[in-house]
Amino acid sequence: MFSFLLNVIRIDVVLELISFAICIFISLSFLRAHLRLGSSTFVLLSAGFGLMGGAMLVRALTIGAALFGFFGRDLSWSLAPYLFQVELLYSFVRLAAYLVFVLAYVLRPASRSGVQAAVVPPPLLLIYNPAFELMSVVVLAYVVIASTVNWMRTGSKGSGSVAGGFWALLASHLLFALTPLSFLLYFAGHAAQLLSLLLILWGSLEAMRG
Amino acid sequence: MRKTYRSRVRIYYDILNAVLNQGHARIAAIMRDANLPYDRLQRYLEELAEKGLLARHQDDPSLFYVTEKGLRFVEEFQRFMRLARAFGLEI
Repeated sequence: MFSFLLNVIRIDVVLELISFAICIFISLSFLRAHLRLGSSTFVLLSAGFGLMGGAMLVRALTIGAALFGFFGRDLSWSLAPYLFQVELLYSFVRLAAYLVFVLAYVLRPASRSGVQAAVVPPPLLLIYNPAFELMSVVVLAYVVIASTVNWMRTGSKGSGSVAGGFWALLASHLLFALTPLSFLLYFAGHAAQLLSLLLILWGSLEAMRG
Repeated sequence: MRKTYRSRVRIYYDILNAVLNQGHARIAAIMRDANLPYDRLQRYLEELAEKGLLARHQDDPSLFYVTEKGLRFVEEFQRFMRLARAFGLEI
């Protein structure tokens, strides 16, 4: 059971690294837009995705180093006691990223219209924070509603894909929160997170194409 | 109705777009189309000219036209505006 969990966590690290790459690509695209136009909207979006990507990279590398000895046994031993703290930091940074998204929707909207069960496997307790997942759901709900209203108003493929991406991100946090029901939900959460970033990336490229 | 805030770059775009729509435009037409008072428009016109996005006609200095650089700015702005709007945001 323990080795099965470690293998799934290993896949989670790989998915997190792919998500990190997508986040950084999106963040740099928005940064480029900001440098060209000097718009605060793009700074906020770039910062949000940058924070998400940074948190993902630190988490993936720390878990990879501590549990799988990516960078040698010595580092693995020294990092292992700090996994919980890294996960806490990851949670705060991800929440901060969502709050930056909310700030963008509050400041620059296109239009104005208006239980953790006790059965979580021990290795997962180190890298699972139900409070963060539930807080993320609450914060992301605002972003999801705003992007969905925008899609309903414009009906464009790009905004539909962006709204779908935020829905998938919300779903990923719900799946993470429900992990105690089944460990597969944790894995499904990572798949949903990856899907969400792919949808946002595709939506951005589609919108830029016009 | 709530007054919407326009960023500086958005005002640049509105001015350039107002000029582009007419090919060549005088201040009164730009004021009307870009929805700006005379004193603010004068300031923005100077800034746009300094940046090489807008220029005065040599024969008739009261007429403005959009330069090549200005055209590229408008195209780029429209691309990024579509991107921001896909997220339901304004530039």
